Amino acid sequence: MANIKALAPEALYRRCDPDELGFESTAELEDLGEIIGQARALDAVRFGIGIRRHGYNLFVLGPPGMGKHTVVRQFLEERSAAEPRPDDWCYVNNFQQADKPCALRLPAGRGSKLRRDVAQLVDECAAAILGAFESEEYQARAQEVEDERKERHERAFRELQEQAERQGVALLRTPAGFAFAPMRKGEVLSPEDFEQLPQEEQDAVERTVAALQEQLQKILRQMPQARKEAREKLRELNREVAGFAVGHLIEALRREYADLPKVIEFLDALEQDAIEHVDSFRRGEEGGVALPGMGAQRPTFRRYEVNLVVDNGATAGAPVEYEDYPTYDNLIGRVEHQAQMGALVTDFTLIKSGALHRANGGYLILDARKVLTQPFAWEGLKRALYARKIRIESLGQLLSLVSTVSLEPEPVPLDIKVVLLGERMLYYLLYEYDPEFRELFKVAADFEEQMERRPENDRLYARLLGTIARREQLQPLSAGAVARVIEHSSRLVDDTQRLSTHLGDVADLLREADYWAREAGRGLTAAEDVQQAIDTRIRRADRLRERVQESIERRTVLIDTEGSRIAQVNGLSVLDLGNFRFGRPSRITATARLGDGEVVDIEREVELGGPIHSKGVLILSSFLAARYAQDRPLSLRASIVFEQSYGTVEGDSASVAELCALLSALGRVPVRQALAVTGSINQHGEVQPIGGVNEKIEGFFDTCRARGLTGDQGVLIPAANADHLMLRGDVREAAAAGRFHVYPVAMIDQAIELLCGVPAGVRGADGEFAEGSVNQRVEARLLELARIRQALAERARDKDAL
Amino acid sequence: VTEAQELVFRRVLVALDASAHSLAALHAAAQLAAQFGAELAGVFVEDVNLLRCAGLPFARELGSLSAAARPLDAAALERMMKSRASELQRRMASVAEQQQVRWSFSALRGQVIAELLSAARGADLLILGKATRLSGTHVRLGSTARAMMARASLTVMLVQHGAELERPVVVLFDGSLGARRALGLAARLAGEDHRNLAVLLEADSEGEYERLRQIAEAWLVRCGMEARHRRLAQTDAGALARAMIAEGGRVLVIDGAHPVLAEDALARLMNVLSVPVIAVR
Repeated sequence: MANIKALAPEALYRRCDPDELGFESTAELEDLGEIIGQARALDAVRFGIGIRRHGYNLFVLGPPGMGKHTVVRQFLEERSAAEPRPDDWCYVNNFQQADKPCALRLPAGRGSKLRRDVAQLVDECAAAILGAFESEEYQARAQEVEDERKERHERAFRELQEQAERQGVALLRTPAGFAFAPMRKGEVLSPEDFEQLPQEEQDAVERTVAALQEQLQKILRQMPQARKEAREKLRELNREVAGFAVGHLIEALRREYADLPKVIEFLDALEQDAIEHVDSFRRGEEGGVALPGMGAQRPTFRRYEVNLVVDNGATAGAPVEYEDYPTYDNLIGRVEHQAQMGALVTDFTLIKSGALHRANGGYLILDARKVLTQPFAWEGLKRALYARKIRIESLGQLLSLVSTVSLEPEPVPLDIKVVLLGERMLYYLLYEYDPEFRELFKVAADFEEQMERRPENDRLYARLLGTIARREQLQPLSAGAVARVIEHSSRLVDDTQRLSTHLGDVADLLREADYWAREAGRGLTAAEDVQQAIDTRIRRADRLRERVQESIERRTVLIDTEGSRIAQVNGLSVLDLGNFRFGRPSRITATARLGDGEVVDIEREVELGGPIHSKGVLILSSFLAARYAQDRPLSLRASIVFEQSYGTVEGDSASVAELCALLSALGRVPVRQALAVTGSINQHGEVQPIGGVNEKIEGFFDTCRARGLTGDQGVLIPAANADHLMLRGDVREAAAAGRFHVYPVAMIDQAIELLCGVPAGVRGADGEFAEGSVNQRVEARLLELARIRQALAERARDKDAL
Repeated sequence: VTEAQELVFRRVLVALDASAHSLAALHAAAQLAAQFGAELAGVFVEDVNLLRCAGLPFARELGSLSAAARPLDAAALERMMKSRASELQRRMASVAEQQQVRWSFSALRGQVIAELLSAARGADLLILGKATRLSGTHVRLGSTARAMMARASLTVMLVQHGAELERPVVVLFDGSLGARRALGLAARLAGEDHRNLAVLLEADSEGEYERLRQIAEAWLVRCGMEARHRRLAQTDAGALARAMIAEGGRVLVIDGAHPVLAEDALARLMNVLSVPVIAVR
């Protein structure tokens, strides 16, 4: 063997030299204005924001904690500051159709002015109208109208009465009206006396009375008409007086808003309405039921209010709005209701703006996941973006669930750029399944989780750390601390050539390191504080790892770290707890006997193995067949299992170990238990890289150290994983002292040689493997099995022949 | 003013016709009867003219609102008058009991004015509604009230629906004997509190005003009273109404012989005033 060297200690880790960073503490460093390592995403954001076309909204994708929100917000705020302020929007009463309030657009700042102006106007109108109606002139003219009617009525009545008296007939008041009766000497003629009159006289009286009755009827019938006329006259008078009182007040406003035709229209309608409803001004309030206990309220003229839904008066530049609770209502706006005597009522003053209103003319940032989890929010957002209009419709209305009195506010034109932030998965799912999504969110900004680790990037990273520290009001970091963070950042992405751009994790680490530095009374966060932060974080999370290692130590879980065993290999697996990953050794065993060429994956049989694991086993069995049984049937039945595994196994990173166990079983070659193996195999016997290499090595190291390092122990890793090594300090120390080894292997033969301490063997010129090599033994055994099988088959045929 | 000149109310007569005005009159009457310890007598006159009219073969009633002609049924009218009388009696009983005054009630039949005049003969004070009809806020003086003001020889008080007997009391004073009696009554109505009494002095000159004021004051001093004084340059309906408003007056007391209570002037005055008016005789 021995042509495979263990990796040198310095290859197990890529240090960052604090001296090369060129500073003592991050306090010396300038703030980092730019965003590092996200050139692609930033180009996309820049493009997406710059392009002013329908449908060019942005989806910023990347895992949470990448600082997407901060980056986008910073970007947008810088850009929006130079952009024009959008207009104000008001809703006002539609005097013709109260259920369809009108939207008014005014230049920024003039919305609130209009609201004040109109409120003041209404106050002034109320005073002016009250004054006008209390004036002597009005009182006199109104009295005149009433007097004229009464006078006319009374005159007619009096004339009739006089006429009746002249004809000897009295006009009597009956309980419900009037009656005529003939009169003699001031008294009504009694029926007996009337009988006594000559017939002609009786007839004459009757005729007179009938004629008078007719006249009276005429007079009485004219009364309602006369009253109506008088009311009409009074109304006309009221209109004239009110118009005069209100006209000049509104005229002043009209001049002020002459440049806004829709406002002028509103003022005209307001004037007409105020004149029509002059009585409500005279009563000092609007018509409606006065409730006990509510009487103390100041009378309001709600119908003349201006509901300012978007006020950009104090906005600088275009608005950048982030809606952290994007419900349908919070996005689109809503119409609220008030309970009034048990009924829900509403009007235009209860229209509330949504985030789309507030961000109109600017930018709206939303979390994709939140939008998607709020009922109908996504649909509502898309509809608004498609229509380029905000139409406020309650969900109840939308679904036709309720039919309370509601409003249909005039839609507001929408000019907005929406930036959705979300995980990659959401983006691809939406892209796949929502045809409208790709129409509306044409720009994707994909955030990179890693950046290249180069000396100049190290220095940028240091400035980034300094910036975060300042922003978070943390102590500055020493160069050593920065170096340690950079190293840890490499470890986070499992790559010596890369740094993590997951700023959330890094910021957490800085905060925790800062805490330990302050605990220790240091004014500068040092490397040991960073180390302590890392260690304590692991300590908090590693309960399960401790249990696992303990059970190995107590031999509840059987793992050998010394000696040699046939058909038994230490494999390595990684457990991911979400916030913490750790490795552990797993015993992999194999058996082989006569059979028809099948390699049984026991995990697969009991459905504890995932498809990739099964794939690994199938690859290794075809490798076996291709190498050792090219021209005869593979006459073996083998089974492979992860011992003491009670959960699912997934991934093909154990396929090298499995193959080694199988070869050991076939060739009856013992395997050194001081070594553990990880790596996946292909059909040509090449060892391919796997994930979690650091955790796996550390997992086996922990097991060995607990039992005492012998100096023989080590781990075989795929050679291609050598670049990913960022091992723990104690592992590195043991490696430097020659007490633990990491072997990079590229081919299965290298692995088997290391494991068995016997040459793997290559085919010589005669096509045979060298005598005593592992391959020779395996081939011989397979040949033997094939022969036995053939013999058995012949005997069976002979039996049949007999 | 001697004791003999002072008004004494032993029997207060109230004319009832079930109108809202007459019910207001009933309340005022009971209040006054209680104040003066007088007996309260209610009278309801069934109008014989109406009954006769209903008996005529061609009698028709024209609805005041609908103008529809309906036959007038004498029997129905009789029944209605009976029930009205018993209703009024019940009302009176309850009001009188409230004020704890002795009371009597009689229903008469005949010519309204003549019956009222004859009933008034045994009384010292007649109280009646300003009109029978209730028509809006402007109540015009009814024919019965007008006739009683003109023809009754006793003190008459006219009350309008909605008005109550309250203070301050305003009295018109021109120094005449009648005016002194009016002042006496006003002072008693006003009670102890001099803020509740205002005297309108009819004077066309400052000298006259001073003279009258001294007379009035001298008279009031004897009753232990004081009053506000106001000069009235001319005495017509408008001037009186303005003075009433200025004084916040709730009752107006006038000498019954005063020209402002004569025929047309009375109608004008009653048209502008809505407070009770007492004509002292």
